[in-house]
Formats: sequence, structure tokens, C-alpha cells
Amino acid sequence: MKINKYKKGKVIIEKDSPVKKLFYIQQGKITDTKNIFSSGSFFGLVSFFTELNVLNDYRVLENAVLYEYDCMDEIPEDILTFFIKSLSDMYVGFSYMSLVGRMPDPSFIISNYNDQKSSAAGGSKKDLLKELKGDGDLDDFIKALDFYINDNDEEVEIPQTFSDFKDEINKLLVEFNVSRFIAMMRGVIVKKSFPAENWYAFFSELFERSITLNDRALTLYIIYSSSFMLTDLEQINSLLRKHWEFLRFNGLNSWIDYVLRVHNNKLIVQVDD
Amino acid sequence: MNVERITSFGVRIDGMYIVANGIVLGVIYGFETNRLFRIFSTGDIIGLDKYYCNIGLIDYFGIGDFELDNLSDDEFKEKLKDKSFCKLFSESLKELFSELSSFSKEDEQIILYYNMKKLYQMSGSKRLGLPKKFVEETGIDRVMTELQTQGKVLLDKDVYIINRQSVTEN
Repeated sequence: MKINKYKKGKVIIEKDSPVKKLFYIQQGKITDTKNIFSSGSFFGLVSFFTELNVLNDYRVLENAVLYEYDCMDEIPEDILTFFIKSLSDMYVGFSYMSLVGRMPDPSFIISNYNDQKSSAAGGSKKDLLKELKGDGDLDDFIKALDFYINDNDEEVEIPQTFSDFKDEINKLLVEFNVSRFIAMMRGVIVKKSFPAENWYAFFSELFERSITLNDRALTLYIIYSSSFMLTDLEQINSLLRKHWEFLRFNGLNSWIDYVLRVHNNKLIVQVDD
Repeated sequence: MNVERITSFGVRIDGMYIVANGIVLGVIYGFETNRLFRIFSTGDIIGLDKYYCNIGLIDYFGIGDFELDNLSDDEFKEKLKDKSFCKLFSESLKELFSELSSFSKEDEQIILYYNMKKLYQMSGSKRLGLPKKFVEETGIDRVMTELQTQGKVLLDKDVYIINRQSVTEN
């Protein structure tokens, strides 16, 4: 394995040439003019495996650090997860784009699957959750998310100042009083109690704490809340970018996408841009 | 002829599968049309799609007599450290991506015909086809009917099979 650093604008793989290595982006961004590949992903996989030449230049979009492997069995344990994910993205992308002309959308799949079940057996969305049983991790995650969003009616008194509110939230997290934490957050979101300029630093801190706690549902809830409270799209983007590796590793990227699409379609369209 | 569902669209899948023996059909679901997109055979890995968004996006069905080896996610990762497994996996991926690349330029009838021909040829003396019930349930009946009209497939005892004459011609 080799580690190489490349400056913005450098061509890594030239058009019409073969791909002889597996390239993992440790840092930076690479583009083939149609797609942008970010840190935590591999690029050039199809050409590497098919031994066909690439159709476009692969160029550095942001200064990059690349791990370059000659073959699959050289990839270390901690990078394998990213390799399998990149391979899966390529497989699904190729299958769907080549044959039906568009990528699958998790929110469509869930609702479509639900419709199929409903019409076939009078089912409801709960049926999908039943189907997901058997995977304890995901099952717990969905239950926790359901609690965060739907099942909490606790009444709380919102502090008068943002500083008091922050202290109260920090105290609830230390006590791990999730029920009250959610009630407090929801009260503030619904009433839009504090001005927008307070929120970025606060969510940034909360985001880091949820990652330290390694709590997937809490992390998702914080992203979900931030999409309501932050009015500056750059700030939302910045939050997601800052912790993208964690989100990818935990498979949260598709769930984030799903939540944002459902709850704030306008925002996600602009964030995607 | 038996067609057995292995994994379900929209549902979390445990681990991966290697086709130890026999043939597996892959079906994808579009907004307007579904596709029998690939015939998998011995040595192929199925279930890679689940890592895209943590749920299966492709349905796999075993046809006739088939055997699968189940690998947990950790076992799959462990296998990827083995040189001989990586070599076989690379060859399987080469064939997979090459086929999918060529499909992107082709009409859905040609893809289904190609897969029917592959199913027929890879099943050896069994000369497998697709049961009418499976074709209807997976929603690929419209394109299959078009192939039947063109004389490329025949419906024999409720099983669609390739018209041998059309194989010889092609």
C-alpha cells in the first residue's frame, strides 16, 4: 500500500487509460466530471475490475490524501467497511441506472414496499417494522427513533434565556434523561424560542457529544432538529461534512437523507447542490 | 419447477450468500417496470446491494436445485483477506460489471432474452426456463410476452423457455 498526497487539479487517472490500483480517499475530493468522490470512498472500481479504460479524467477537486492498494487482500480491516460500501454503491448504481435509469430512493422503497404489503394483506407501516425484526441493532434504532419523534408527550417548562436552556440540556444529557431532553428540544423547536444565531455552536457541540456517546438515534435526532433550527444551509452542510466519516460508518447517511427529505424537502434539495 | 425467494426487497438481510451450486435470479424494481437483471451461477456472491442503505434493493430467487453458503458480515470481511478468495471474487465482479456495463445500452427485451439464453445454457441438461407464475408475480410478463410474440421464447406447460431455434439463429 502507498500513501500519496495530491494537489487540487492533479489528474490521478487519465482518460482512456486503465485503472491498476484501488484508490481510497483518506482526505479530499476527486471528480470524474460526472461524480464527486469524497473521503471514505473508493473510486475507479468498475474500471479496476473490468480492466476497461476510464472514459474521463479523474481529477483532484480538493487537496487529497489517497491510499493506493494493488489488490483487495491488501486493504486493512478498518478500510474494508468503506471498500464494501463503495462496491455496493457501484453495484446498485450500475444495476439500477443501467436498467431502470434512476437510482433507488430509500424513502420510495419503504413507502412502495409498504403499499405493496398494504394492498396484499391489509398491512400498515408497522408491518415493515415487523419485517425488520431479526436485526437487533436496526430494530432498536428504529424503536428509539420512533420514541424521539412520536412517542414523547412530556410537558416541560422552557428556560427564559438560551444560556439557561443550554445548561439544562447539558444537565439532562449528563443524567441521560432522554425523555426530558427530547421534550425540552421539541418545546423549543415548536415555539422557536431562541434566535437562529445561537444554534450552530450548540448543535455542533451536541453532535460531538452524541458521537462520543456513540448513540446513533440521538445523533440522527440532532441532525433532524438542526434541519429545523438552522436557517443557514452552509451551517447544516458544515455539520454533516464535519462528521461524515462517522455517519457513513454507522450507515446513517441514507437515514439522514430520508429524514430530511420527508421533513424538509426544500432544505435537502439545496444541501444536495 | 421450483423458484424460491432468497432475500426480499426492502428488508434487512443477514450476511451474504455465495452460490455454492445452481442458479440464482436477480430482480430489480423500477417505477414502471421490473427487470430480471442477472443470472447468477456457482461462485457468484449475492447480497452486496444491502450495504447501499442497509436494506436489500434486489430480490434473489433460487431456481431448481440450488445451494447457498451463508457468510456473516464478519466472515465476508475475513474472506476478503484471503488471496485465493479475492481472485475468485475479482473474476465474479469483472463478469458482473462487464454485463451491467453492456446492458446500459440495450433494450429491455434484449436483456431479458440474453438472461433467458444464459439460464438455458447454464442449466445444462435441465434446460431451465421461467415459470409463468414467477414471471407474472415479478412483473416481467409484458416483456416476456413480447419475446413470445417474436418467437424467441415459448410457453410450454406454464414455463417460459427459450426457443431453441432462436438460439441457433443467434
